[in-house]
Amino acid sequence: MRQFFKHLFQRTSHDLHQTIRLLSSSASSCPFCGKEAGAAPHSKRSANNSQLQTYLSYLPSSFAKSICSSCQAAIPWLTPIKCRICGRGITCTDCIRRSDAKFIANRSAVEYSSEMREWLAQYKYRGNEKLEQLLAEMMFPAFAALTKEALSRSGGSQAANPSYGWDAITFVPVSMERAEERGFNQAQRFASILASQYHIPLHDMLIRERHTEKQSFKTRPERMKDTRHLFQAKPEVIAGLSAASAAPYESSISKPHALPQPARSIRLLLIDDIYTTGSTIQACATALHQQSQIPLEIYALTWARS
Amino acid sequence: MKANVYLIHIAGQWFAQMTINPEVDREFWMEEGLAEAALRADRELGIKREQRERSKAVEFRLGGVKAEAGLLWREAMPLGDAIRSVQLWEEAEAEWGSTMEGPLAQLAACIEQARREAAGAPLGRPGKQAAGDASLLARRWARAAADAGGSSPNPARAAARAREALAAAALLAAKAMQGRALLRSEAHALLDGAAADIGGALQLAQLLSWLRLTGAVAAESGRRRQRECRCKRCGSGEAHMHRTACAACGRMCAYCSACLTMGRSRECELLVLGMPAPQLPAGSIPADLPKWQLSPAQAAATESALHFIEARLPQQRQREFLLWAVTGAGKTEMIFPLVESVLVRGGKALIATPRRDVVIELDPRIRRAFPKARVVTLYGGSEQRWEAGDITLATTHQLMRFYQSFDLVIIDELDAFPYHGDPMLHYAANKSCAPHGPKLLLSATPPVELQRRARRGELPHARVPVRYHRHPLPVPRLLRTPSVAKLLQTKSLPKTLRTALHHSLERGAQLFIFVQRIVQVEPMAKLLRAVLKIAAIEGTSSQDPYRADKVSRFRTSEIRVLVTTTILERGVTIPRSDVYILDADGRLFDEASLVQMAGRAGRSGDDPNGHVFFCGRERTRSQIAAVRHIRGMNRIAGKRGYLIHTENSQSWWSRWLKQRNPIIKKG
Repeated sequence: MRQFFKHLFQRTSHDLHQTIRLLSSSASSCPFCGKEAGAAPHSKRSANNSQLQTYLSYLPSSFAKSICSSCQAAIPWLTPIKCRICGRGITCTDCIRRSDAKFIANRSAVEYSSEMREWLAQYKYRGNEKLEQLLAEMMFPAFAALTKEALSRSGGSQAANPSYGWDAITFVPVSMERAEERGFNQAQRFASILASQYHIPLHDMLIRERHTEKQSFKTRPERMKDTRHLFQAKPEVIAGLSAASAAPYESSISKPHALPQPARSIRLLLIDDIYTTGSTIQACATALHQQSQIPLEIYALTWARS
Repeated sequence: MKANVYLIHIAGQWFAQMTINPEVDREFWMEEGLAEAALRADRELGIKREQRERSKAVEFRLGGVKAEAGLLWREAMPLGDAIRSVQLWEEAEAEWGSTMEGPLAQLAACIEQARREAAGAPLGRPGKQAAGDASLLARRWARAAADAGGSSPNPARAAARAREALAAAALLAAKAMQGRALLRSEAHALLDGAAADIGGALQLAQLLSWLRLTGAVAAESGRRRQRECRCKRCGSGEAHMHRTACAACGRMCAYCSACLTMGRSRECELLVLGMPAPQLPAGSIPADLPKWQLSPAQAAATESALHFIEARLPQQRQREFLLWAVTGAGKTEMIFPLVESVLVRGGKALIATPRRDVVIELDPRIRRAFPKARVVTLYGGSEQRWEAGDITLATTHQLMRFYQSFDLVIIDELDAFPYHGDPMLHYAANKSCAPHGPKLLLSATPPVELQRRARRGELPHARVPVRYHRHPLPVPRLLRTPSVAKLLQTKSLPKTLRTALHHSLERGAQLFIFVQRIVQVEPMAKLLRAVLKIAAIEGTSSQDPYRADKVSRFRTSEIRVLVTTTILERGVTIPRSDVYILDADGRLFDEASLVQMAGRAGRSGDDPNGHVFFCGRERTRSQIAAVRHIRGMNRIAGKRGYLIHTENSQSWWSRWLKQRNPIIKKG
């Protein structure tokens, strides 16, 4: 009997201990560095940088609370940008060289610093999926900026539809092998979080044809050559999308002869984790254009610009 | 990953099995050759009969009986479901007995129950019968056409060679996996190049019970009849499970967030468990203790530890032995005879410690002591990751990759972070120990719980109360000083502290200055440079990228004074050093920590009486306990006659007697 009570006591106290540990750990440890997360808001940022503050106002309020202040200070936000095409913080020769662009512009949330590399690796390679929501949220300010630019480019200051002027969000696919090995596609997860946050339809439009070596082991020309025919667009998804977008304006859906419809093109947002040379985005955009009957405006939003 | 289940009919009975490579199974059960090749390999492996648990079906097949029929469930399912389905079948088999309706329908019921459980239902039994016609869901295994070999000998010969190769690869996998617990990707890395088809080799090895294939995270009965998961690799429970949609198995799948740094363990991920280490012959080999040149205190403790590890005891009992040795007792030298005893008997020894720095420091000493043994050193990023050796030196995290592997497990600095208080690492340590293997716990400051068990006689132990040089431990002096924050604010040191520091420097000592917080390290170093007027003062902490460099410069006495945190409370030994613990009343410094830091002083026989100062505004219970701890050890050492200078350590009573009565020479 005594043994029983002793056992019971030990067990409950053990449970209690566990619970307390769990509560305290979920409440206060920073998911990136594991240290105690201070509830201190971005106090280190001086008030004179009001531009940055406006930019960061698009972050959810929970973001600042769940990350410790030193990790927050380590984020190299990519604002303001210099290159209007690829969204870099410096003027870039790559974009001046480019002649046959299939996408309009790319914007990235952060510079791919060593810290950011570590963060992404923790999620992507180590599989710490608890970071997923936070990493995706880091893209919100860049999304807002890109949306504004896209709207001003098309002339209208107001969004034509409730989804911020976007007809669809899609993402860069991974191969079957990679998906099985990793268990998820980070681009798809980011796209899905953005889609549900901003109520934009999410479509799985692309297929990765070949399983390539990891991009990070290749040089620029190698990448360009390798990725050229890497992707295929799914015709049925594109067709469905053009039909849906055409419906409010046209009474009959399939009118192949009336094709050049200058009034209405489809605005697509393509999501990926890293933009390096832009060859992946270019290849995806090429594949999408090939399958589409109507003009596409393709923008890219990526988590980091390396 | 996904796996398949199938039924085979052999010797008039039906059996259910899980497979990660159905073609290997088909060939094993249905065709001539593979089972025979495997049997030959099995003889080579030479496991004792009583040590394996092989299914009846496999025994039939190895006895020469071929399966009459095989039914492969067409749809591959998440690994966990496949394993659970077979488990359900085996549990229910006895009940079904002769009333078995149709084996396939029964299997369908098991699969359905496994799916229900995976969706969150409590663990239970398969239903009476699954709905629908199950016959369409399975495929009957065909036997290869009989004349295939007859008409053309070449393909037949090639097939025979392939079978031999597969059996050889499976044997190789079994040997390499012995004592290990590896995720699929790790197993592939270990067996890289050993086989063309690693999955096939693992599957054949599993059929023969040369290893086990399980899910890395598996369900168990929850307390409130809910389905809960546990990580089979690190032992963490439901609290550490995180469920996400998984592209590898196509549904919500739990992964363990506790051991994520060691590669992701998840529900549909394969965990390969090798065979346990075979039992060592018991009985002692006459130990050559003098060879190791131990001090009397070391020798006495080592002898009782040796006696303990060499005794044959019932397997079920947790066999732990605590070696409670003061800082600087020469613990490492004491474990040499124990390791040797295991090696001589043909076993494998493990020396594990929570700290990577300690592992790296131990490495050359172990290699010097055992020049003939294969030593494997494991830590995050170690190059010897997939090697096997006689002596394994590892951080406690690395133990997750082992399963019943070592005949002696030695845990050094067991009270150090992160091992102490981490159930995951304790689980890993227990798992790495062979079922019969003893575990030796080493510490200068064992946790209260262990001290209590030792006192009650529940934990066999030996105490080494004296350092190898046989001088008493320096007893800390308490110095009243303002807090570090205050010192930094006023940019000055109180006179008492200044005098003590100057005195230490004059006698040629190097100084450890401990502070509580990392942010205080650099400012304090700066302040000391200003006050003491010497330049060779540096600060380091866990966040300092140049820590290793600074420590080695401190060792070569290029740095005179090192300001640091508890990160250097153990491991670093400087021959002539004094220790100053600032904010000794702070809550981060507990008794163990204070004793460890004080243990940095007086390490060498040339300078055994280093000075230790506890500086703080008040004397706390931790400080008093630490001083009592150190005095207590010195007293025991004196009583047992381990000390060289008995003058200092004789009890007050005997000193008093001597003063009163000079005729009594020895008290």
